[in-house]
Amino acid sequence: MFDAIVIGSGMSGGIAAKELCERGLKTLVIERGRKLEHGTSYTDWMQPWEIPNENMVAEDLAKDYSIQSQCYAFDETTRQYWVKDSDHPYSTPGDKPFSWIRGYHLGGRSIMWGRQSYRLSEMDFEANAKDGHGSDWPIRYADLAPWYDHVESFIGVAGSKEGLDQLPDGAFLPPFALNDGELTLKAGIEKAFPGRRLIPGRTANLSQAQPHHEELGRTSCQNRQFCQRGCSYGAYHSSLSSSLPAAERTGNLTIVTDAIVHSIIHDPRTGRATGVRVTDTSTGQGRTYEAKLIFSCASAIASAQILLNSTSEANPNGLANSSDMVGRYLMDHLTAVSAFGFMPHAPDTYYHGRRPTGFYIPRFRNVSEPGDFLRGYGYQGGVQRMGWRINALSTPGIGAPLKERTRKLGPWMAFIGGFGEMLPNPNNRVTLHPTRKDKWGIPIVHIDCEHGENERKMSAAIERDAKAMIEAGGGTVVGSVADPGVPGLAIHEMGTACMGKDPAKSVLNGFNQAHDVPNLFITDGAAMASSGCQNPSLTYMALSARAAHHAAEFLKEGRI
Amino acid sequence: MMHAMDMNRRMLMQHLLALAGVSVLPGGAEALAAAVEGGTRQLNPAHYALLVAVADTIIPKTDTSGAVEVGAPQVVDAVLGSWASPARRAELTAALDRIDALGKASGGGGFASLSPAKRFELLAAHDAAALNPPAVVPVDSTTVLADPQQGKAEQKSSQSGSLIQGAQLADPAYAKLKELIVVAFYFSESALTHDLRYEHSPGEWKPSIPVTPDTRAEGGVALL
Repeated sequence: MFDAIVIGSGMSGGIAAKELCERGLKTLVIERGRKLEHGTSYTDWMQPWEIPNENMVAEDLAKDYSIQSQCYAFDETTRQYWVKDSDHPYSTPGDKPFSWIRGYHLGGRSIMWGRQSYRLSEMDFEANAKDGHGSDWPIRYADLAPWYDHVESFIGVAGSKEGLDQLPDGAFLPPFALNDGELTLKAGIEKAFPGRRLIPGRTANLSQAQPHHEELGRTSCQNRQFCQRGCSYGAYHSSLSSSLPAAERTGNLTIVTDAIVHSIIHDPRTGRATGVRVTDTSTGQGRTYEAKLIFSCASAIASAQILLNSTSEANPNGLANSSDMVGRYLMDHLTAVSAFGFMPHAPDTYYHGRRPTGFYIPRFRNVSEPGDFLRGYGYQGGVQRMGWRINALSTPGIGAPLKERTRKLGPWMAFIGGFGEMLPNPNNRVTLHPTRKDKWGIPIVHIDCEHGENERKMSAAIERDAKAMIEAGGGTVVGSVADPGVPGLAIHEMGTACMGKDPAKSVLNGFNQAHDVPNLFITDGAAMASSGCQNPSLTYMALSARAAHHAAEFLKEGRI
Repeated sequence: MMHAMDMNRRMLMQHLLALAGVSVLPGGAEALAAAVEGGTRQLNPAHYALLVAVADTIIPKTDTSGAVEVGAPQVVDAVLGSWASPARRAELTAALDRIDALGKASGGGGFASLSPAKRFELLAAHDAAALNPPAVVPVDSTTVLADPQQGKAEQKSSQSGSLIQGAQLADPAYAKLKELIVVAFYFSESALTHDLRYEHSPGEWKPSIPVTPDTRAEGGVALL
């Protein structure tokens, strides 16, 4: 019997485990994938000439990664971190594709994450109440602010203080400064559009490691920009480099890998969860683990899958689902819409190092400027000298002239990509497939999700504003994308066990505690009542830390 | 079939030899002959000789090593085994055959038997025609400016951009062949030392440094 079980070892599970262990709780982390070791499992040592296949995944093998290969970070150096789609099927309606990007191994997607770390703001927590979409958040910014502080300090977030209401400042390490191309773009945008700001991207990389980072063996960022291979310096936060080692040093942590949580066990007499059933992936055998507290941190879609599969006589529609909200309100961000262009007026300078972030343009629509849609969007991007590959291959030419032009710096090019908020919509939904099961006999998920009218209007505005901002920076737009693309590819899926005030309309209360099952907490993306337009991992971590704190208190007080 | 691991091992061996001061590949005119000889190849000897000649013509030795000197043909040959599907392999071999036919049509022998000047003349024209219309900057939401393909070929979804937009080009197989050669060269330690600038661990981020006549573009596999 453990004090707590944490399902999943990724971004949320790592922090939940750390916080529970640090409060003296004997904690079991269950990971469905294989064990990875910090450092030795990584591929960051590979020099370009050591990378197999010129960093392309073998064509016949790539067929097994038909979905995962759509992710920007998928290549031969990172292939080990993505699931084989052929081994881990899910279904969608034929006309509504959804790209579910996953990594099944210790640390989950915290190994490959994009590290962009932004707080939600008061405006985001009020959004559902104001426009009536989704479940009103049972918390407001002030409830989470100290936990943002707590998590930012622990993981290390580089960023600049900007004093913006829509993007609250935090406990930042020094920012990764903008380059001269970006400063040119910033000046143009901020002059042409008062109220818009272009700021250094806030990223969970240690621009300057602090003593509490170094205690965990983490050191400052080396500006290599292949974070997604895993970082032997521990310079970005991941479960392997940071949260699990912190949990481990308490002596309270147990990790079990290669065990898929099939369902949560519920005692109808007490109304409490008593443990989990797992399937050992190496033997196919089932077994159970028991604990006083259960934290589900399996990721939004997987947590919904586990709840929906936890049926019993008392819970015929799945656990914690008396509201019928489990699986509903699936959201992702709109990320495909973008624009890029040359910046001929930027100074003829260069930069040294490969910074692990770019710039960020905080939301301005329905903040300082109106929009013909609800909610809003921010942008990420960068301005860089065009690189060797484009110089070499984008126009005909061979021989000595080809070598000569490839050696030269290309022109400055700006890229601006939107991150738009999807409205919470109960019809965007994860269910269990009625007949299909995976190779372990667990029903696969069926994901039914599409963009609506608000998302389409927003996409048009994202493209329009992106082009206008490149032009405001003196740039020449050479291309843009208007199509919001397939949902899922932001890899920000969330909302499938939403927090809310009303147990009839939401799954979790203000402590991420299931309304129906007081010792069950869900702190991954499933908990999100709305998505904001900010990259959400920081919020998942803050919610996880806060929930762990309260769960430990409740346990101590005998309330659960 | 040569597997990735075998290729790694061979590359590792080369680097160990290099560290020990052993010259792995002879330079200059000998390189062509030496590169063609020996080893287990994906391509038959005639096609491999052709690949060597094409690589030497696309990236010749100048004040820095060329594709042959850095072993790019061996890398491309291995990639044909460990990366390319059978259909892709056939397309790329056919692209080589089309280049060989240029030599024969010009009244000379096969492409590999021509003088470097003649090879350049024929392949430059073929290259311009094959890549017509010229590739455009990719359209890809996640795109990253320094290296939009992030070291990959066009194997992503239809949403994704591709540097060389195969379907729009007159000879997409040639475009791919050229890309394999060019990337093999620019991923090489020699090119990353002498043609481009590469530090595996740059350490510090300096947001603004002056450009001088000696400034070279950054190489490697960039994601951002």
